[in-house]
Amino acid sequence: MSDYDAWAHDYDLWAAGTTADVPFYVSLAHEAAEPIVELAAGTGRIAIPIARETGKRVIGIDRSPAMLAVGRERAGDLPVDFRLGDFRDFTVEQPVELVICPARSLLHAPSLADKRAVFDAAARALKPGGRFGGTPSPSTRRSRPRTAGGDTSARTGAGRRLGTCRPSGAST
Amino acid sequence: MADYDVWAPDYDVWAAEMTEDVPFYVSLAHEAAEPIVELAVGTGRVAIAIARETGKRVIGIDRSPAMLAVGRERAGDLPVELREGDFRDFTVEQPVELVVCPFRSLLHAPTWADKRAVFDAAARALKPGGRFAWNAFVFSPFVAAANHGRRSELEDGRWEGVRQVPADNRVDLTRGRGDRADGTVRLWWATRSEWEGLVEAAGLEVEALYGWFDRRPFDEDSAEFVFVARKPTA
Repeated sequence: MSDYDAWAHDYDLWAAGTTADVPFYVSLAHEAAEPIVELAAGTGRIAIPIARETGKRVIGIDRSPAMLAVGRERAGDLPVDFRLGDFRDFTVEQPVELVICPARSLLHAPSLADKRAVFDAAARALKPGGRFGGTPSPSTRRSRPRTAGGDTSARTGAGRRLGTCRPSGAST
Repeated sequence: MADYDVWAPDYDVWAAEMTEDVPFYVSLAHEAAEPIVELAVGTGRVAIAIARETGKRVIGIDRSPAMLAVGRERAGDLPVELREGDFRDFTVEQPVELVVCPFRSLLHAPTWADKRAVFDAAARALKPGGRFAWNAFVFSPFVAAANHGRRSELEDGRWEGVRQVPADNRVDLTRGRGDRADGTVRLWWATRSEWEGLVEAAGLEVEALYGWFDRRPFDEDSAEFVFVARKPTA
C-alpha cells in the first residue's frame, strides 16, 4: 500500500500533459546496456516507451501495488519487469549502466536521509561509468579534491547536476 | 571592496528590525569560553553586544572593509577584534568553543561548494564539543511572489529593489539612485535538507533546530531556521 494507490486508476490521465521527458530518458536508454532501472516507475509511462523503442529490458521499481498493476497491464509482452520496492533501499542482481528517476519522483523522499538513501542505493546499483538520471557517476567526472565528507560532496554534487537536466520541468 | 560596502553607511538602520537574534547569540556566548568567533560580522551588531554583555573577546570576520570600519568605530574599547577575511577559508590561532554566523549571512555563499567551505572552516576552528550556530530564512514562495519586482523608495532619492531567481535559489537586493544601480547583494537560500547535509558533510551534528530565537521548536509554520550544530567530542 502506498499513497499513490489512490492515483493509480487515472494516473495516466493526470500525467498526460507530461511528455517532453520521454524522449530524453529513451535517448539515455539507447546509450546504455540493458537492463535499465527506473525508480518510482509507477504505471510505466517511461519504462514502457523505453522497452518499446530500445527493445531493452527495464526493471521498474515502485512501492504502490496499484500503480504497478496498471503498469503490468499496459506493458503487455514488453520486457518490463515491475517490482514492488522502496527506492531508498532497492538492489539489483547485477550492476547496471543506467538508473533513472523521472517526473520529480525524488521529491517524494522527505528528508536529507531519505534522499541520501536513494542516491546511495543508485550509486551501489551502477557500474563504474554508469549514469543516474543523466548524471555521470563520479568515476567518469573530473576528480575533485577529497576533504572530510568527500563522498557526500560528490553525491550531492551529482544531485545538483541532476537538478540541472530536467526536461519535463523546463517544458511546463 | 565587497558588495556590502554600498550598504555600510546605513546598514544599522536597515537592520534595525532584527533584534531578537541578539539575546540568542549572547546566551550561546555566555556558555562558551572566549574568544567567540563571528562570521560575516559586518558592523558588529551582534559581536559588540556579545562583548559588552559577556565581557568575552570576540573575533569578527568580514570581507567588507567599509562594514568593518563602521564596526571598529562602534566597538570603541570593547574586546572586539574585527578582521578582514572570507568566511570560506577563515582560520583562528587556537580552536574555539563557539562560532556564530547570524542574520542569514551564510546565504551569501552562492553554491554548495561555497557553503561547504564555510562549514568545513567552522568545523576546523572548533574544539571538540564546540558549537556552530547560524540562522537563515525559510524560503517562502508566498513572500517571494509578493516582493518580486518590488522597489522601495529610501530617503534621499535612493531605492532598493527585490528580484527573485528561483532557478538559482537566489534573491537579489539591489540599491540605486535614479536610473543607476549602486550594488546588489545576493542571497542563495537553502532548504532544511541542504543545511543538514552541510552539517553532516562537515562532520558536525545538529544539536538543535529552532523555529525562532526564543527557541520554539521548528515546525511546518516556521519562517526561520535557527540551527545549533556541535562538533562531536569523540
